[in-house]
Amino acid sequence: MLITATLQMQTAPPRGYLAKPKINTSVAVLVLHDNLGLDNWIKSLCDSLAHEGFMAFAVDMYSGKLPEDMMEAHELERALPEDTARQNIINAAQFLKETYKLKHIGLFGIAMGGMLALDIMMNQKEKFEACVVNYAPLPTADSLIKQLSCPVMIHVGEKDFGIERASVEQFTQKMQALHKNIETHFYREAGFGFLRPNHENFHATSAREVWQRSIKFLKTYLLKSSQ
Amino acid sequence: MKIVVALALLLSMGSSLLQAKTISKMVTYKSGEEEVSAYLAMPEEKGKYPAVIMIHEWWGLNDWIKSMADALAAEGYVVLAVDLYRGKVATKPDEAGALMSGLPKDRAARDLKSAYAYLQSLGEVNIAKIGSIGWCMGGSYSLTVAKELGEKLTACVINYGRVSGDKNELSAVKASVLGIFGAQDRGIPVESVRAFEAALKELGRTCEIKIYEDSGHAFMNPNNTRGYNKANAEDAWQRTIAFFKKTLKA
Repeated sequence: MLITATLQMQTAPPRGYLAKPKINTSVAVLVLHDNLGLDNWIKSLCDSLAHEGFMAFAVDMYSGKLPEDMMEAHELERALPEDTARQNIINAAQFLKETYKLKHIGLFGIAMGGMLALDIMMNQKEKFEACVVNYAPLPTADSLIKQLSCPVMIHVGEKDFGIERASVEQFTQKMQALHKNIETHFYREAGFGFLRPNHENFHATSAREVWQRSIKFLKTYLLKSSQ
Repeated sequence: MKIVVALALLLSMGSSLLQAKTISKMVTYKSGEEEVSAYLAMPEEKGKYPAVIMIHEWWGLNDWIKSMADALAAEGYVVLAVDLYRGKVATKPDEAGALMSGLPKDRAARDLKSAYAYLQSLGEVNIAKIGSIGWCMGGSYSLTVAKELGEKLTACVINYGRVSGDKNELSAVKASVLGIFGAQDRGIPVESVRAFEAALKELGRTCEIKIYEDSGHAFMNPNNTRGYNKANAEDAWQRTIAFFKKTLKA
C-alpha cells in the first residue's frame, strides 16, 4: 500500500508532502514546485515517484499558500524569498537523510523549482546525485556552470515563449566542454508549462515522454548508486 | 500611441511647465560578448545629468516603461530603460510568465552591470550620480543592482519587488533606498516590507518606505485593469521624483 503523509514538524520544519514507496529504499527525490505551488498535481508527482520506488518529498516553498490564479502565482513567484526557499530545500534533504537513513537524493524541479534546483547546486554544499530541470532559466556564466556537480537532465518545449532553444544548446555545450553529465531534450509541440495538466500549454504526449525519461534518468543515477 | 500615453502622463503630473523637452532612441551596448538593446531618454538641452537605470516589469520593455523613462528624463535625468528580455514583449500573462520564469538571473545581473558601464561612457551623464528604479520583477532587479554595484549606486527605487530581511544579504547595498508597496499585495506581506526596512536601517542605510493600504500589486501600471490606482500611482511618482532629486541632484 502506498503511504502518503503531510509532514508537520515542531522545529525546523521541512514543510511539504511526503510519499513513501512500499519497499525499503535508500533513495529520495525532492520535488520543487512551479509558481502555482504545492497543489494536487505536485502531490500526484510524488505519488508516482513513490510507485517507482523513490521516497518523494515535495518542498512547500510558499509556506502553505496556494495561489488561486495565475496572477497570484506571479505575485508569489516575483516575491519569493529565494534564500529561505533554498534553506527549506536543504532542510528537507537533511531531514530525509536523518529520519529515513536515505543516502542518495535527486532533484526534480519545474520552472521556478528548476531554477532553484540549479541554484542550490551552485550555492550549497549539500550533495545531490541527479537533477531534472523542466523549463527553467539556465545559468550562462562558466563560473556558475562549473559548480554543477551531478548529472543534469533538461526538458524544454520548443514553443516556450521565454526560453530560447539557442540558450539551452549553449548551456548544454558548456556542460559538455566541462565534461559534465548532461542530457537535454526538446519537445517540438510544447510551450512553457506543458507538464501541468491545468496549464493552458499542457501537452500530454510530451509530458509523458518527460516523465519516462526522468524516471529512467533518476533510476540510473540514484538507484544504481545505492546498489 | 506612445506619445499620447507620455502626454497624458505629463499632464497628470500637473507640473508640465517645469519639465524639460526630451529626446529618446533605442541604443545598443555590450554585455559580456553580447550586444543588448535599451531605450535611452534624456533632456534635449545639452548638459551633464544624473542617470537612472530603469528596469521593466514581467511584461518586458513596453510602451508604458518607455513613457516612464520619458517622464523621468523630463525631470532632468538620463534614463536607460534596459531590455532584459532581448526584444521580447508580452501582452498576455502566460507569455509574461514564460519570459519571467525563463530569464537567467546571472545574465540579467550582467546586463544591468553593463548598463551601468554604458551610462558611465556617456558624455551627458554625471557618473557620480547614478540610480536605479524598477517595477514588479524589475523592482526585484533594482535591489539586485544595488547589491551588485554597492557604493557605485547612489539611489535605488523598488516598486513592489522582492525584498529581504537578511542583513548579510543587504549589507552590500550602499545606496539610499525608496521602497513603494501595496498592502494588498498577495506575495509581499507588510511585515516582510517592515523587516526589510528595519534591516536596512540597522545597517545604517537611508531607507524610505511607503505602503499604500488600499492597493495591491502593480497599482502604478495604467494597463493593469484590475489593480491600477491612479491617485496612489501619482503620489508614488511624486515621491520618486522627490527622492531622486534629493539623492541624485543634491
